[in-house]
Amino acid sequence: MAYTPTPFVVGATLDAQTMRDNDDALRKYLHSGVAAADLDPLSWIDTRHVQPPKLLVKRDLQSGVTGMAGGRMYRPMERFTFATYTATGMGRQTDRDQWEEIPDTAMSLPLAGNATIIYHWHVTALVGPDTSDTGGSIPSRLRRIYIAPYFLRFDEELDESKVDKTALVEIRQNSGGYRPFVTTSPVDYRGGAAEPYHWSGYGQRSGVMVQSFTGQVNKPNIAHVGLAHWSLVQRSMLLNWSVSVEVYY
Amino acid sequence: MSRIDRERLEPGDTLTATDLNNRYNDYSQTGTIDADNTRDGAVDVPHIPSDATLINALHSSINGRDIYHGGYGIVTMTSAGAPTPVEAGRVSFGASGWTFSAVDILRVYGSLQCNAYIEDDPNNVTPNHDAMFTVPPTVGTTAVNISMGTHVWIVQLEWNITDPALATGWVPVPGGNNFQSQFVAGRYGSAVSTLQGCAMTQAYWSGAANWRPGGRADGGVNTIFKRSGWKNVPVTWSGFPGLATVYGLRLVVHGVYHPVNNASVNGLVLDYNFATWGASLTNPPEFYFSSGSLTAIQLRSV
Repeated sequence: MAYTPTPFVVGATLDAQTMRDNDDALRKYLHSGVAAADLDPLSWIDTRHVQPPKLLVKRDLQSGVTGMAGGRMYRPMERFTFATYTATGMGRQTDRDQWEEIPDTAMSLPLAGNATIIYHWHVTALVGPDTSDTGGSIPSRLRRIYIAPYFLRFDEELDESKVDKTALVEIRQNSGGYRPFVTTSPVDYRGGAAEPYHWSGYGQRSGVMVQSFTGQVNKPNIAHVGLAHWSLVQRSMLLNWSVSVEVYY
Repeated sequence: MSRIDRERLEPGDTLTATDLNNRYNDYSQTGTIDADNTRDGAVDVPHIPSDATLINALHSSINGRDIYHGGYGIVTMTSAGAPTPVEAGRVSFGASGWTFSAVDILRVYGSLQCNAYIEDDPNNVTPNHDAMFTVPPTVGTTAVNISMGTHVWIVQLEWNITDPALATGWVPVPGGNNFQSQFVAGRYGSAVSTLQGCAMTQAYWSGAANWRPGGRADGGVNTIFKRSGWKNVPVTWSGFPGLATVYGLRLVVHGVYHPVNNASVNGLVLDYNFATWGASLTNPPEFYFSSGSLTAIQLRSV
């Protein structure tokens, strides 16, 4: 037993200094290492010891112990997360990849020291169709979005060098454009996308990034991991997404 | 209940030495400190195994190609016999490899940029491939043969636990089939139950338009197909390798397969007729692969 309090003697004055010494010793004991023999030998970490998830209603973002989930979750066609150059003004040219963050997918991790960070993500994207002439010189059939994780230290900003392209995934757009409303019998198109969304433009993708974090001198040991996108498509959105992180010292 | 769940002292209580001794001695009892004492977040070092939880982690691109599909690799269809897997990229764990104890877990995540290339309509072709169904004509006598659109390429994870040089000895990860035996008489393939470490990606999408009487002027149907284009295929596997040393991982590709039910067992078999039809074309269906990645994590489970 690593904790041995000073006993009080019956009939003697209860000394406040002794109480404080016992309290200090107990605090030190509980905070610096409980002796293994004093612990219940059974596994006891259960759901009471795990932080319950929180739901941020306005942002439709669920934040749990190891990750977050967002996009459309509760009501159809509401609160999508966008991955589009329409929103960022960046990325529609192919001569240089330009990356922007995907909102809410990032986490800042205060770390106690050198660590290995494993970042997981999953997205379900709806990309295009985009036959507009504002997509630079990219043929419609080649327009797509790229999604990749990025890793930043405390005082770094996102640029293409911080994106882990080895963990990149791509989702091509719906290759067809829009079909007009036609009532010529017997054909009765009601308009809309000309290609089936569930095929080429509807993409479920997932991935993993592993990063080694080395503690820095005179700077907070904060790592920042998240998802970035490079979009060559005017309209694309993430219907659902989730991210989670593992950290090992 | 923990002994430290003791009634609190209240104002007005008479405080004695025994009260205080009981309170402090709660913490000096062998084997009694548990969740009620340390509470939320107070997980301390003795709660955690002394061995490192994370033994090894590797994340790497696997074939050196760029993300813009430049200089892609090509896999052709198997037209007879057993498939010949074509490597799409690998990672090495070094000459010493990763040594696994009986309680170690290997988690693998792979991704491959690929394009199931197809140029010509696979409907109404000669010879008929296996995954077709025939529609009786509503006008005339010529039946319409519509592809079910279920042809797939397989991207499969293999490991090497025998050769540090990674020259020979590649085999599917546990639970995976090497596809070197016949699932249906005369056709090589695998049962679905032995497809661990495998990912399937469609060779194309096929269907029919105007699928209704009178939908087309002659009462027939229009067959349609769509090309998949470039996309990413994910491959994952996790399990206990057991007492083994793993020297490397790689992704291989082979095909084209279609689903089949044989003796009440679901599986995949090669479609030689599809490959024969493809070989007759100027631009036969092929599997293109560009860049990719493999992530491997070795964890200790206890």
